[in-house]
Amino acid sequence: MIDALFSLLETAELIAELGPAAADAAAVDPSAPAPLFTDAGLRDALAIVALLGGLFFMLVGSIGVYRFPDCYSRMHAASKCTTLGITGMLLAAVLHIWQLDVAGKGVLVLVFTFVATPVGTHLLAKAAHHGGAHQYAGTRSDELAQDKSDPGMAINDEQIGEVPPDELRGAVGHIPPPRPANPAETHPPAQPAGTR
Amino acid sequence: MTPAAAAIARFVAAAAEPSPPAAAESVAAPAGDAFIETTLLYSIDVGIFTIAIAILLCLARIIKGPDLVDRGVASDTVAVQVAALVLLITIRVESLIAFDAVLIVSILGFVSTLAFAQFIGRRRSVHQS
Repeated sequence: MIDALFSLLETAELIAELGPAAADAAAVDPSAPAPLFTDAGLRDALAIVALLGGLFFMLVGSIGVYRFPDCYSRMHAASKCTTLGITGMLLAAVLHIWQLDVAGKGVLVLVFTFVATPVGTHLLAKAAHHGGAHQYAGTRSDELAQDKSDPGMAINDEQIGEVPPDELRGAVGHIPPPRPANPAETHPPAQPAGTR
Repeated sequence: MTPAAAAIARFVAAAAEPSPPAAAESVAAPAGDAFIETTLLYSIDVGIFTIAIAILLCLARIIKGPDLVDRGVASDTVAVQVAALVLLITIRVESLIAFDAVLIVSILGFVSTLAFAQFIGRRRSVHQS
C-alpha cells in the first residue's frame, strides 16, 4: 500500500520534471497484458443492457394495449410502455454513439417524452370519460363520475358553458346552489358547500 | 503516359486505398470489443423484430378497438414505437441522419394525440346539442 503510494508519487514527480511526453511513456507499459475491453466496448455492453430493458417494456406495454379490457387500463399500459421503452432505446443510442450533440438531442427527446406522454394520456382519458367510454365491469371507484353527479361541486364539465341565473349575473364567480341534505350519500362531504 | 497523368493516377489510387495506420489500429483493438459489437448488432436486429411485433399488436387494437378512444391510445403508442424503431435503425446503419427524425416523430405523435382528444370531446358535444 505504502509502496504503491510512493511509486505513484515518484511517477508524479517524474511527470512534473519531464513534461507530458514522459506521462505517455509511463502510462503505456509494453509488458502489461492487453485489456479485454476498451471504454467503447464497455459502453456498448451497457447499451445492450439498456436496449434489452427498453425492448422488454415496449413489448409488455403493447401486449397490455392489446389484451386489457377497457380503454383506461389500456392507457395505463400504453403510457408506461412508451415512456420506459423509449428511455431505454435513447440510453442505448447515446451510449453507443457517444457524441455530445447526440446526447443533447437525446436529453431533449427524453424531456419531451416525459412531459408529453402524461399530458396526452390525461387529455385522452378526460375525453374518454366525458364521452362515456366503456368501463370494465370490475372497476372499483370512479370519483370523477361521483363528482359530476354531485350537486355540491361548483364547476364541472357540464356547467362550464352554462348561463348563470339572473340573480347571479354580475356576481364574481359562479356561486353554487346549496348542497341538499342527502343521508343516502355514499361518501361523506369533505367540505361544506360554497367553499370549493 | 505523361508524367502528370501518372501522378494523378497515383494520387487517385492512394486516395482510394484505406490508409495503413487505420488498419493497424483496427488489428490492435481487443478481442472483447468485437464480441460486444457483434452482440449489440444482433440484439438490435432482435429489437427491430420485437418492435415490429409490438406495432402489429397495436395495429390489431386499432382495427379491433370497440371505441374511438382505444384507437387513439393505440395510435399514440404506435407513434412512440416508430420513434424507437428510428432510433434502432440509427444505431444499426451507423449514421446520424435519422436521429433528428426521432424528435419530429415524437412531436407529431403528441400533436396527433391532442387532436384525437379534441376530436373525441368535440364529437360528443356535437351529438349532444
